[in-house]
Amino acid sequence: MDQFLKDKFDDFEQTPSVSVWSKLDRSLRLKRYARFSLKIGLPLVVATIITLVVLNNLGSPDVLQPAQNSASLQTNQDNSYVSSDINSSPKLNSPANSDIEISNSSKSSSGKVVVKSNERINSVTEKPVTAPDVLNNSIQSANSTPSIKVVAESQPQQKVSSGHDESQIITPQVTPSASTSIANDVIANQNELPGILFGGTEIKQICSGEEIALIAPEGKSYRWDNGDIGRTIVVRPNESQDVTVLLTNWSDQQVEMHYRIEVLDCSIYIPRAFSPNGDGQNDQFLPLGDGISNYNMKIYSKQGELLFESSELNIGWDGRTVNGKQPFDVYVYRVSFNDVNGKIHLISGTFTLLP
Amino acid sequence: MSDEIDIITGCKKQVPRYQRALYDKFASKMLGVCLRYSHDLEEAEDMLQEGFVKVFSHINDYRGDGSFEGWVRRVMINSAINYFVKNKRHYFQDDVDELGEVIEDERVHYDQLHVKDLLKVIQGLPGGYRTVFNLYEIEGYQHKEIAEMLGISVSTSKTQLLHAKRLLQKRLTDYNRETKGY
Repeated sequence: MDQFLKDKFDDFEQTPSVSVWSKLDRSLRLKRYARFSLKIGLPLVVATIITLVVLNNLGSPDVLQPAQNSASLQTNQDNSYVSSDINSSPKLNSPANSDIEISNSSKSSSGKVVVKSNERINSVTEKPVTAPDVLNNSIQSANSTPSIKVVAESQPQQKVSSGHDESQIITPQVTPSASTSIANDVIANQNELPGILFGGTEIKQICSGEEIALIAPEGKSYRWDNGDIGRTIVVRPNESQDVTVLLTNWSDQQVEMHYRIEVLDCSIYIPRAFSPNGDGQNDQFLPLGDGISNYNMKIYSKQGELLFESSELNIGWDGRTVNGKQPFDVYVYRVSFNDVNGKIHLISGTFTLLP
Repeated sequence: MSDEIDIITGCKKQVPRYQRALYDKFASKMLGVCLRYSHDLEEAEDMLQEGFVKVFSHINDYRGDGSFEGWVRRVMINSAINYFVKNKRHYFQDDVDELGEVIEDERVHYDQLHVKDLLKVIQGLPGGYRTVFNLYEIEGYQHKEIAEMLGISVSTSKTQLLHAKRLLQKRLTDYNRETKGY
């Protein structure tokens, strides 16, 4: 090694051009999207096949009551992007897990299954923070489906009638023996506790500083991991955390439910100035946001003329319009976005284009 | 330091804000590294980008032993090597016979060149020379390690280094003659 040379280059730095980050950011987004689609696509296919098999086995597709369908839809509309609802029937439950709606076409006797992906998939990929968590849950849904298949084939009548009666739903569907054959971290860990059934994981997203009420499915008694014994607890975590409740249902079975609370920033940082001179520093006017969706930014001149619009968090304004470089001046921005609760935020202000 | 731990934890969870923070923290320094391994800025920025993709996708492999910057730097160097091997495999030609005995401690006299001028001369070296030169003289790897990294023989590594140093010395002399008039 040449010490002279090493010393010389040790402190050598050069700022890369803006395009490096833009490309990198794009590839990170693509990667998240690809992994997400893979994990979502697989359960979708599995769920479809299983639904077909079950429908054929049952003979009559009428067994899927409308009430059950609506239960599944309700789950989708919950403010968490992914949730599993212990009240809905397991078969419909698993598609809901992966945020994909599987509806049987108005109970037609052909047993035809219409599978359409929910639009929310797109919104989730737009919101990268949530993607990994969705994945976690979809792993679980992918693996819990086969176990449901076993039960559904052997006890179709019970499954059908259990639509409204939660004490029976939880019963044999996800028993340890049924799912140990599919080795899986999530399920396997739950099954290490003999005699306790796993009720599912529900993901809740909140903005930092907010509190959230967790309501357990109905039962005789409850025990939360923080010591509470009520059906509902209110938590205000500073960072993402898992909460577990052990409940005893009306059939005296112990059911464990998991809640994963994701704490998001839900904020946006808007710079006060930028300098599009190509030196690699602040060459774009680019707000930085986390945990937001439906982002839109409009930039106006002081005269109110719309100069630039972007709906992508990684696409900022480079200080140019079709008329070329804009002069050193104060400009107006108007940014709108939704936070995780769907609340719309509108902010506007001014910033300076520096020469 | 806790700032760095936050960034690493955030990146392991793939939080975009922390990925950006990590990039901002290391991009300039790592471009400095990539520039040495590249022919020009464009190539260096390509290496940098590929390197960061690897940093983000392998961040879970970083266990906290050793400095994080050192780890990022190693990932960058590997990425630079991959980039080079992928694009210009034919650069490593083993012509050890031509040189005969390889003298290892041949020194180059760098004079008081500014780092940017030095970089220009290094970037002007043929790719194979440049890679071995960087790994040996600046990163401090041994010939055996370099040979393994690049998939070449130890003697090729030695030859390439010697060629690199000789060429560098010649170019530096030319460079001095041009700029200082002697």
